[in-house]
Amino acid sequence: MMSLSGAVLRRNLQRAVVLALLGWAGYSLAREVPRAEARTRKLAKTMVTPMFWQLGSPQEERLRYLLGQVAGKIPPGEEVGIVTAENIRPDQAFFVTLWAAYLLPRHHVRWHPLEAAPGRVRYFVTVRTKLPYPDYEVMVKTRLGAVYRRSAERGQTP
Amino acid sequence: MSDLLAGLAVVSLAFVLALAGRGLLRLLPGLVLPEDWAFRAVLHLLAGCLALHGVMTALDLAGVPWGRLAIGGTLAALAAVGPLFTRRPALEPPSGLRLGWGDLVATLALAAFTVAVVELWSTNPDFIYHWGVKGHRFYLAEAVDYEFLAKWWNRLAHPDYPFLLPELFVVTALARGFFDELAALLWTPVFLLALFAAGRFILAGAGLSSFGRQGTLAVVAVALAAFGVPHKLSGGPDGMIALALVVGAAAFLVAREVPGRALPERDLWIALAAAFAATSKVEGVVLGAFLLAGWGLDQRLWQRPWPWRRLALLGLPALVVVLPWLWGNLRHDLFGQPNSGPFRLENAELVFPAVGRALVNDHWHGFALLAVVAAPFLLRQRALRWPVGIALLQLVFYLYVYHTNRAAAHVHVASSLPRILVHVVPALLLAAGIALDRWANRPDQEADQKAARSALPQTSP
Repeated sequence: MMSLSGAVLRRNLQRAVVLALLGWAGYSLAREVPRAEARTRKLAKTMVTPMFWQLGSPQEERLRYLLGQVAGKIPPGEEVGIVTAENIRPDQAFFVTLWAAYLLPRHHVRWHPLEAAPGRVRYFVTVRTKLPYPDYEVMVKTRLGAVYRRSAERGQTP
Repeated sequence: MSDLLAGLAVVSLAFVLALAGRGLLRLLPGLVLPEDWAFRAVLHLLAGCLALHGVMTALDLAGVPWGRLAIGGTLAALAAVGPLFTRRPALEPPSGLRLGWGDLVATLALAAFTVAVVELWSTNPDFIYHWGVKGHRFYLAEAVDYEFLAKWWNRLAHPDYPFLLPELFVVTALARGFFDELAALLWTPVFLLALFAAGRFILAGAGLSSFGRQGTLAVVAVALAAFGVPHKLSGGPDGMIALALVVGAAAFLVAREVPGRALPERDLWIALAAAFAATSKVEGVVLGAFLLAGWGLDQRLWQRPWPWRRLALLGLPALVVVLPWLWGNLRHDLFGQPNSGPFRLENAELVFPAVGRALVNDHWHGFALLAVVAAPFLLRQRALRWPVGIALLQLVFYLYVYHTNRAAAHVHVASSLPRILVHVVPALLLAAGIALDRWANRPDQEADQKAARSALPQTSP
């Protein structure tokens, strides 16, 4: 009788453990879905650092809008320099550059230090700053930033 | 409507890949596939993904642009060639699909995860930083864009990673006519569904009680969804590695009719799992090697005379995917992470506390900690030893990598380990479910002895 109840006890214990884990996992999932929804809503209203941007967030949409204006006007394969404001930390500038690279898949996008010379780069995207080089002209400008091209390129772009 | 079309495109492509995989597998003579309908579909899907990767790699090497006709035509030919040119009778008809409450719970968990992907754009940041951009560029270039990968400023975007996921994004874009981000993201739910199907097969094949089967599957699925929603699993290849380990684990865990008998039919499961892992992500190359080595040791494949046919079936798929990848990376000098170097023991001070924090990461709700803490105890069960051992070896490999970081190893651990724990947690939770069920249902020695005593003829003095 003792041993039979031992087998039943083990089975009941298994049920209790599995159901407890399932209950905890279910509770966690039920909590995470509305949390994720709240985070997405919050992201739509507040400014966050580039590391926390996500598809559909307003910051991403602003950058997408800015780059979308000129994507077809920059020749494919062209190098595009990203220049960010001095108050954007290098690690955050890195994420801005990755987003720009994602949004300009026909071009080669790289971060360009503000203090460096323009070199051979003919197109620049600035984020919350102005381009310090004199021989570049604005192609498009929004609240987020602007896209510039070297003045001599005007007649050559499609 | 656009969401629906994206979903339809991915489901249709998965179906086409499974058909191509089925055609390919039928070309293998004497192959016995399992009766379980869902696991058979998982094997077909994995074979189809590998076929797709093979086709795209071959086209790339031949300089033929990736177009609908070239890829679609080859996949259609693969789907047709098996049934057309093999005389042997069709494979054993698959068994019917009997669903239980655990399957329903797993389906609901997957639905919750998928809704989060569709409605909240719950996207893995690495989709933006490298997987997605590679897919989009390869789609536009109609080839692997080595010019982009080789740029020195893209070193941190892992240009050396294998290409299966970007290639899936390319065929999805070809099917949709444009780079559809949502459709690309929906591959993760497809692979999670495959993982649940493979898990279900293991639990049934390991001889668990009905409650053990359904309960374990439900726990694994809900725990994974509860992690996947906040941690934004979609758009990355981590679910694919987890799937590969679970498929590989099936070869070890599903009960053997004759204990210790050579199991050539399971070589295919390991071969597909290893090759699929190797072409999903660089960590998968290591996992693939562990799976192959573990199975080789388990089956004593090193003993002479060498079983050449088995060794070929096991190793060839992985070699076919790994060699072109190695060659492409070496040719374009893509290897080498700027932030890693030789092994540094002093990193341990930073790494181990960070590992502890990753294990109790909020998004895991304790399930990663449970799986990893349970693992050494699971090693005590002979049947679980190989899959659990392989999962632990994989974790040891990650620890090694963190010890090669030149600076801020703890930041690397914090930013990656909670996510890559997903490679091993599902397999470990499945193993824990098996161990628990075996413990709960083990034959009761005392009761057996009592029954045996009562069955003896009574002799009175």
